Amino acid sequence: MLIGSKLPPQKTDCTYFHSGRAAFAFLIGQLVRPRKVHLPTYTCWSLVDAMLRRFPNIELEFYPVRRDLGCLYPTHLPKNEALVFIHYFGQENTAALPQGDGVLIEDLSHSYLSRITPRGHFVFGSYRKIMKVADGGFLAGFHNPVYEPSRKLDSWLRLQATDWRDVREAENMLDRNWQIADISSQSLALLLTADPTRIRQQRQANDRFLTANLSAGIPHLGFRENECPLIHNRLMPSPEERDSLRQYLAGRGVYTSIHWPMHEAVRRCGKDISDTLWLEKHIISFPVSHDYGQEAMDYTCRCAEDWRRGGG
Amino acid sequence: MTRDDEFYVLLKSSLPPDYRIEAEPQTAYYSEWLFAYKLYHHDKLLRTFAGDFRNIPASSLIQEAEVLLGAIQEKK
Repeated sequence: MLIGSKLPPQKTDCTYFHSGRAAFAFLIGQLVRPRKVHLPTYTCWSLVDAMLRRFPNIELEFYPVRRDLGCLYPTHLPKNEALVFIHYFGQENTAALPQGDGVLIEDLSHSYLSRITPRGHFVFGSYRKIMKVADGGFLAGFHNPVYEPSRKLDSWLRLQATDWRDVREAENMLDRNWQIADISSQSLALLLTADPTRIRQQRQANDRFLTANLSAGIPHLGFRENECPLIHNRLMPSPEERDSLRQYLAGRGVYTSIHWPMHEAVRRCGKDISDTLWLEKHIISFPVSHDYGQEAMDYTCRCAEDWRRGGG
Repeated sequence: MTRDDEFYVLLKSSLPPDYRIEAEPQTAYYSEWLFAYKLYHHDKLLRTFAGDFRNIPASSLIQEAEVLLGAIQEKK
């Protein structure tokens, strides 16, 4: 037995990063080091860009995603290849994963608060999408990266922000320039004191309210009790109606988004992107953040109803 | 990427209280390289800085911010 006062520190079972893309880049560059990475055709810009900017020598291939968010994975994933799968908008992605010796990487950015049993060899994500923090990403397990220097000015700007413009500017800063850096103390403190049950319940209540009362388009997804919605998606009959609704709502202070305009690399990938393109043209995403209660959801529904009555 | 990326934060964090800088970011996806900033003294618009980070001479924007801050300090 050894008894001493200079003991190695305890280790966490999670490694923190400045952003989800930083966690992803560390994972790809330091841990997995694959020859090829498979990404979904239906994805946000950040993973695609992380691959193109950081790993131009790693082959990038896309697998098609249907409009019901079913993923058409390759049947076999060989050694030296990695495949990223996403639980879109908080809904568990239960599609059978490819067989083989390749590495399965699970992106929990949308589903961090959904109670999902991970199936990937590695699990990572971003905190910013669902936790309302200035920065933050994670990789499951203890990894102890040598972080790259960063002044984290995008985090500074988010914490300084008083309206959407500075938040957007900070988002642009992060898109232009990011490092494999650590999370800020502000964000970590908020994460460690957040109440995941309360957040999940409020988001679920907001989503249920919109599902029952929003009179525009049809709901894209239904969430189970264990799932925490990131946003409430609606499918509109046409891009024109979708854009008209977005513009009308913005004029009433209700800001919606489109998930997602397609990245140029996906457009050129040569795979079947028809359903992904269809989603880009028809989807509209409503906020269901846990900051909002029924009053905000009701206001959103009344504005959408006014738009519909006005002839769309 | 040079420190031009820090232009907005440098001014926002360093300008005296009677000055302010505002960002007018575009809202479209994938417009992150485009910038538009407005510099005010009280409510008077003094200057607009707009362009594309990819098309400006390296460090030109951040140098402008430093000169600007120096000039304002001198006036005080």
